[in-house]
Amino acid sequence: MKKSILSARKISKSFAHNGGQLHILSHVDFELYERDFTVVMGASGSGKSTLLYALSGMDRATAGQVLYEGRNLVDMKEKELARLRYHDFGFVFQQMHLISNLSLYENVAVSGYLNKEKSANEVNKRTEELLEKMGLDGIKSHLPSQVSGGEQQRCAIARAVVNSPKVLFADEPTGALNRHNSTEVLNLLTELNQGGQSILMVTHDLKAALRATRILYLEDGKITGELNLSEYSRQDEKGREAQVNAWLTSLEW
Amino acid sequence: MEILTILKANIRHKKGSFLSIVLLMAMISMALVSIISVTNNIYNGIIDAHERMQTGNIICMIDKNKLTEELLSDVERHALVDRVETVETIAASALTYHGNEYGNDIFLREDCEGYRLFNQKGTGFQKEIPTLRQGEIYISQGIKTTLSCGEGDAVTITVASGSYDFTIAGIIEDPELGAQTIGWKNIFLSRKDYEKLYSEVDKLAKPEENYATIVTQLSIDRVDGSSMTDARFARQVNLDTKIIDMGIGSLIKDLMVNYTYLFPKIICMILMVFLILLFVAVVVVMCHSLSAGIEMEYTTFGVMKAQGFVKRKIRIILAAQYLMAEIGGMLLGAAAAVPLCRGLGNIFQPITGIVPRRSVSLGECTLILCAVLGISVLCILLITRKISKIMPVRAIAGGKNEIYFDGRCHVAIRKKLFSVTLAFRQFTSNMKQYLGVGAIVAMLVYFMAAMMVLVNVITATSAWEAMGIDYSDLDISFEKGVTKQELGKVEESLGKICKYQISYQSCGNSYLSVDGEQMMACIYSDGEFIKAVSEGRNIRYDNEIVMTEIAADNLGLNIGDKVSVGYRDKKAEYIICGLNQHMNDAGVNFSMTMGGAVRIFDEAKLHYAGYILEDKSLGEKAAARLSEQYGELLTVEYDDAPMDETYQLAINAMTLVVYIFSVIFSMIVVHMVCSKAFIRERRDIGIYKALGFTAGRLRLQFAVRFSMVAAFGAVAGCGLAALFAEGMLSAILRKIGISNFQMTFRFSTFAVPILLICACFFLFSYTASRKVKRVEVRELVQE
Repeated sequence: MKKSILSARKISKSFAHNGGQLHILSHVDFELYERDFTVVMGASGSGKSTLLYALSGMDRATAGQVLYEGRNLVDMKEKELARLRYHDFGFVFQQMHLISNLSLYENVAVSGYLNKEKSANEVNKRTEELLEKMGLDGIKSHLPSQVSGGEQQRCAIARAVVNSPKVLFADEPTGALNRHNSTEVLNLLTELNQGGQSILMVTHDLKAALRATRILYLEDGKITGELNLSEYSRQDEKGREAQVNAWLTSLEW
Repeated sequence: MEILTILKANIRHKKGSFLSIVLLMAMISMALVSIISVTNNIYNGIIDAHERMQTGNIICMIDKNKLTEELLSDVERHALVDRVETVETIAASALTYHGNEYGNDIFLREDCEGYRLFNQKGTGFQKEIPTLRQGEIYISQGIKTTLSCGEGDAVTITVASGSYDFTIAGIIEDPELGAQTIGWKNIFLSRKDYEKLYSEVDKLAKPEENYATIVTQLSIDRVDGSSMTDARFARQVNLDTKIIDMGIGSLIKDLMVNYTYLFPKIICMILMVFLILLFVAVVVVMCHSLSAGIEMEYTTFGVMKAQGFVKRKIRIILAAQYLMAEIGGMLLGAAAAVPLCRGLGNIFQPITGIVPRRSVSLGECTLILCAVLGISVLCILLITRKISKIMPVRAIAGGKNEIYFDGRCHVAIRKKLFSVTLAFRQFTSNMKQYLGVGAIVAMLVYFMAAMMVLVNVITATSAWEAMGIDYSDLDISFEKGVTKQELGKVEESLGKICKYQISYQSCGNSYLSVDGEQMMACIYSDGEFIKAVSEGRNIRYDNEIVMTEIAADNLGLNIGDKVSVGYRDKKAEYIICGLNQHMNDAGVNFSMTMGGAVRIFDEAKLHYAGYILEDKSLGEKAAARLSEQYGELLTVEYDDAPMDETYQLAINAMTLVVYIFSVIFSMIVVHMVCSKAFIRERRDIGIYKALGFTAGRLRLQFAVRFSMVAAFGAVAGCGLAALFAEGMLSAILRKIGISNFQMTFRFSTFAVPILLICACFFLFSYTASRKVKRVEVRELVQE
């Protein structure tokens, strides 16, 4: 029996638009399970990123509940949400969003320094380990503008996991990368997941979705499909691709 | 039309920047118009008063008995002289009010026709001057300010025949001698009092001992059309007639105007220098805002170019945008200055004794404001040159190079002091952006520190000595003079009451001719009391004098030069052995010893002595005891206030103005720069929030960063103040005789401006960064 660590109950998100309301998410129910690699897919404008931001506490749902450890994120105060962001959740953006005046090392360490439960030494050690793991130790003093997109995204992943978050959110992490860099980033995420990291990723890239253990399909702000997969292995990639393709075709992807 | 549309949109979109420029320019132009107008109003008020009184180009005070008919006739018949008027006055040695004495020469006059009587507030005049009754007097503003006395107060006047009590019936406007900065004073008596005193003192005169009881005031006017300066006119008349040599002293009209105008002029000059620095700061802020704006709207300009806007048009739009703000601010400031011009001039009335004009110097101010606009236009054109480098294709493709972090300082970010180290990184990695702000802070702090130095000097009597100012707590004056031995006995008595240090022993000041030029001689008992000798050495021999740097410069003299010093018909040669600083007569004077004085005076006696008491609490007791013991021989005055209250107030007010302006200025500058920084860093703020930073922490970082900028700028400003404030203040204060200003540093000199400016920057940037709250992490999402 899988243990749910994050759940959403009938969450909706709408924006004011041309004097009316634009509904992006409508009464979505969702569960994220421990050690799962869940991917949310859907066409552009289907509300994938909105769902991700609502679930991660980066944005507040207009209605419904997002429950994490029994607490509703929607009702949390700014300080509580801030703690959640540096302590329990990690986030990887499509555009990396590294702080441009900090070196790669500092970009990672800064998130760690926010965590009051860890000493500076622990943070520094963890940062070194992560950068080595991401293959960035040789360029750790470089500025983001001095490294490639793939290296930036690997740094962003290191930053997201520096505090060993319970959940790692990723918003189209390969969206701005070339094929080679995409594969590198996906390998890292897979490795993290197989190491026990729960991941919720949004993508419309089939290759990226193959890494999931569970795929949800979002259409017009509602989850219309779910596909459970076994743990990813490279040998099984072709069969997996065919399975996912067939499922997506059934959903008129 | 397209320019107008974009202009309107820009102003609507950038209300903050636009408003900041409007406010800055309004502040500057308000202060500029006020200062220029007030300066002109005071000067013109003085000139008006002189013209109304038909003041002579020379006023010469001469013992009635020395003014022979032949001498008077020589002056009257002199080719350069148009008119000579004589008024006989009774010489008074002191006016006492509540134990405080006005010890400069006072001349008691009977006729006050032509003079005007101030109203109660001193802001205007009464329609008529009531005829004085017996026992009543009119005094001039200078005495009122010095002794803090006024209408209805009882005073005692000392003349040769004794002391007499009078009641002040009003304050007269006396353009000649009424200012507080001029020592001599006229006092007006009723006809009966005048005649009574005249008859009493006239018979006591001892012309052979140079003891004048009746002094004739000669008002000598130059012929019309002569281009000669008053100084040259006085010198020529004196060389030809010896009228000034024979007199007690003289004053030329130019100097009367100069002395009356001196203090407001210096205050306004200091404020003007401050204003110029503020204007430079405005230009820096504007250029920074413009430059950052161009960088931030690189794409917009690219799009505009792609739509067919040529660079000239874009530059016109930018220039018009800023110029509109400037002109708006100027008009606003000028309008606000109008009521200020009317009221501010009166602040100096207690010192000048003159009611200033109340007009706005429209022509001069318009010219200066146009020049200010011209400079702004030049700067705008220079900065907007970079518009020509914008390539539409690159701009639209976002091809602009990284605008942020053009430099890096490798100071590690630490978990300890996390906010501070991160703020420091944000500051050092974009130093260029803060250079302008740092420079502005440096300028503000430079001036704030300079003002602190000035304020320190008011109370630092140790610095006074170095600047040649005689400071003492207990002043003794001997009306008839004493010998050194007699003074020694008085000092012995004083020593039994309290411990003291001798500040000066002086024979007083006399006007003597130096190579034909009238100049004040300060005669001291010994060379040791001549202070602040900056070049050469002090007097060792009787044929030596020490001259002030200003006087030596005026006469083109230097150490080692021989000069002929004359008094009446006696002359002697002296060598200038040193240059010093002495504030008497606005720094135009020389000092000699008693031994040197007897070479032209036959006899010299000590008339004044000043002492600094070790225990100030014994001052009153010492004064009372000496008065009791020596009675008629001396008058003692105890006053431990280091400087006249009016001057202190004026300097403090000026300091306050500088501080208030600096605070308001820093508020606007911080707001402008913060707004720009906020727009530039909006994405970073979103990222930091996504990482778990709270709005409060981010705002704190913002505030810490700006405080750091302020601290760096402030330290630089203090450094500049330490290096250049002395020179600046010396140059400005040279007009009152301080050619070598002595800086007095205290902890507060630098601590107060640094702390104040850093606190302001912290507070204002924290307030300005409140928009951080509104930044949502969602802004980072690309759907």
